[in-house]
Parts: sequence; C-alpha cells; structure tokens
Amino acid sequence: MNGLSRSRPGARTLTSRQRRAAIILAIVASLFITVDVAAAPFRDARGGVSGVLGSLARATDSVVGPARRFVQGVPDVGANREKIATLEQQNADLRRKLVDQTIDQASADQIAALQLHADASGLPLLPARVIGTGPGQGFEFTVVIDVGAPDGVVLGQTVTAGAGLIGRVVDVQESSSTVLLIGDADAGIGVRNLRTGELGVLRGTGTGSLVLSPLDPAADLKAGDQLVSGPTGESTFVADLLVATITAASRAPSGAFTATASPAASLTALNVVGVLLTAPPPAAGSPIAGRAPLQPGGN
Amino acid sequence: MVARVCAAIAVALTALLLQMTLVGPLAPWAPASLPAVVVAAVAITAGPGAGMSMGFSLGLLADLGSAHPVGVLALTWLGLGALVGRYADPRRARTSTITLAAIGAALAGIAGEVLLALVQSDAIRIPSLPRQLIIALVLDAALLVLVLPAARSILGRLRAPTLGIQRG
Repeated sequence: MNGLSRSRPGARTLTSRQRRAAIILAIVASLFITVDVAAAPFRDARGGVSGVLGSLARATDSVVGPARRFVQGVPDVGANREKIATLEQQNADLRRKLVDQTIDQASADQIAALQLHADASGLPLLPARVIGTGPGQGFEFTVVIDVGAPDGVVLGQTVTAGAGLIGRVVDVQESSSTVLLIGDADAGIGVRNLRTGELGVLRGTGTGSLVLSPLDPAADLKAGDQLVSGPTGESTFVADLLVATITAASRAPSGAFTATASPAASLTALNVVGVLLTAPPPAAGSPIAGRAPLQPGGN
Repeated sequence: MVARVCAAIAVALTALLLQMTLVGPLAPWAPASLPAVVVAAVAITAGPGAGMSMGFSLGLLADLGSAHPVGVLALTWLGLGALVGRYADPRRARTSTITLAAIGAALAGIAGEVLLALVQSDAIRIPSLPRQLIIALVLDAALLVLVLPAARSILGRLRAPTLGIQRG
C-alpha cells in the first residue's frame, strides 16, 4: 500500500526510496536552519507567507471568532457569582443574551483601560483585536493582531493590554501584525523595580510566569514589588509601563537574588490590545513592513 | 494526483488557520498542535511516505509564518510523519493507534523545543518538560480522536480504485 512494505504485522517499513527522501529532506531542513540563523535569507518568503496567513486568519476569525470568544468569556462569567445567581433565575434565552453582554462589556472595559493608559503616557494608541496566535504556537508565544502597516504599525512598537505591557511588534504586514509576548522564552525586557529603583532583566519562560534577574545580585526583592519597563533610551519598549508584579523572591547558593513574577496583564486572555504608535527603534534602514530578527533577550 | 495535492494544500492551510484562530488562543500555554496531529493522522492513514511529505511541507509553511528559524518545524514534523507512519499501524486497535500517534506528536513538540533551544543557544527548561509532555499527550490524543476519522474519510475518497490489486 502506497509504496511501502510490511516486515511484520503491526509495523510498516520505509522503502529504500522513502528512506533516501527522508534523509534528503532532513538535510534540506537542517540547511534551512543553518542558513536562516546565519544570514536570514528568507525575509521575503516569510513576509509573503505571514501576509497570506494573516489575511486568511482574519477571514477565519470572522467565522470561528465568535465561538472562541464565547468559550474564552465563560471563566469571566463564572467569576461573577452574583450575576450568575440572577441569571440562573431567568430563562435560557435571557441567559445567552447576558453572556454576550458580559463579553461585550469586557471588551468595552479593555478599550477604556487602553484609552486611559494612552492618555497617561501621552502617546497615540492604536486599538487592535487579537485574531489568533502564531502558527508555531508551542514553540513561541506570539499573537496576531488585526492592524498592519497602513494603520501606522512598525517593527518594535510596544503593545499593551490596558493593565500592562504585553509585548512588542516583531512582524508587520498589510492587514495584520505579529506580537512577541513577554512570556516567550526568547523575550527579555529591561525593567525597574518601582519600590527600590533597582534595574533588572525580566525574561519569559514559555509557561506563563516570568523570571527577574536583577543587575545587582544583592538587590532587595520582595513579593508584591511592581516592575515597570526600563529607563528611556535603554530599552526598545516604551518606558515606565507596568510590566509585572513579583510573586516570589529567592536567593541562590551564590547569594544572588532572583524572582518570579506574574505579568500585569493576563497573556492568556487577550482580546483587545493597544499598539503604542511610537517611532521605530533607532536602527538604520529599518523597514516599515517586514519582520524583525528575533534577538534572544531583546530588551 | 492533482486532487491529492489540492487536498493536501487545503488540509495544511485549514490546520494552520484553525491552530492560529482556535486551538492556539483556547490553549495559549499548552503545547497542543493541530498541524502536528494532522501530520500524525495522515501518516497513520496513508503511511510514512505521505506522512513525511505532509510533515515537511506543513512544517515549512508554519516555519515561514513564524518568528523562529526556518526548518525547525519542517525537520521535527518530517520525523513525526516518518516514525508515526512506520509504527502506528491502522490495523491495530483504534485506542493503541491514537495513543502511539499522540505520543509521537507530543515527543515531536518536545524535540522541536529542544532543537530550537540548541539553535538559539537558549537554556533547555528540563524541569518543565515532563509536565509539557503529559499535557501535550492528553490534548493531542483528544485532537486525534477528532482528526483521525476525518483524515481517513478524506484520504479514502482520494484513493484511486485498485480493483483489488495493490502495488509493492
């Protein structure tokens, strides 16, 4: 069947032709990795594929988005016990309407929070809706938003979710952009402890929590300390935005302090976000639309 | 042949778009991967050759749409298609086939993460790997329960009539 042979029941053997094909494809994939890490020659191809996938994702989101947002809104509804107690006394139609209303209210609250934040920072803010995650989800933590280059989005811009900073733009297309979340294992951001003024680097772990490494190994860290984005000029992020709150601090045998922190804005329940329309980072020849190289610890 | 290629492209795009707009947002920190599950389902149904082709193509497409180096997912899912196609025999009981394929998909996720860490010179978060493996195993098995019948149905319709004669 399909050019394969069976050596024993329960197992299928690759033909010699298939084995050769597997070896050749593995070599090709390895070459792609090596070349892309060394010289990044796939920028145009990436832009094309990202653009097509972004456009298709927008169309797909218009179909599956309502159902997804309904499921995502269920925990919020469950958290509001008083409202549920009232809802339980009403009929099924009214309950469905109230759930929809709750989801709309959550979106409205997020937009209001974004506007408040934009007013405080004095920067123009572009509201955007999250239409999906990156196709390589599981290997990287990115989200795709429904605004692109024509809306004023450029590489490196800071993205917030009302309560706090969530990431930066790493890819811009005509109708969509990709945001690398601060929880990604490759994401790093320079931060300042609001209580002590100590500086440090906050890194993602790929699991939802963040790890803080203070520049001064003996820095005083306490649970509850708030961390804001680093000093102006020292970071690609907009300064003084709330990023995370320390949840636990520990001391290594070497005496150095490290801490875990939780993001100020939930990275797992993103719906409406805001792109702070700052000038792009000072890199000569930065493209308006395209993809930024992923720099480990790109703070 | 043309129908198979068109079907493969349609399946690949559908898997990526559903991963981006539905599976990914609903399980943001869980390493569930619908494209990997589709590769495993194709490998079970049509054998290691088709599994490898689907794995490499779908992986390359996902790589080009992602921020990490091109080739990581292509290499990982190529291996997934080859190994699941080799060992997950569709004549076995459905439960054992799905379990084997889910193990393959979950291990492919871990292998991809390790490969990515090596390529980008990052530290491998070994303590979190067992937890990730278990979560991926459960979610991939659940996705396979839905995807495998669909793959069998689509590939069954595309398979040319053989009049009882099978090659090789």
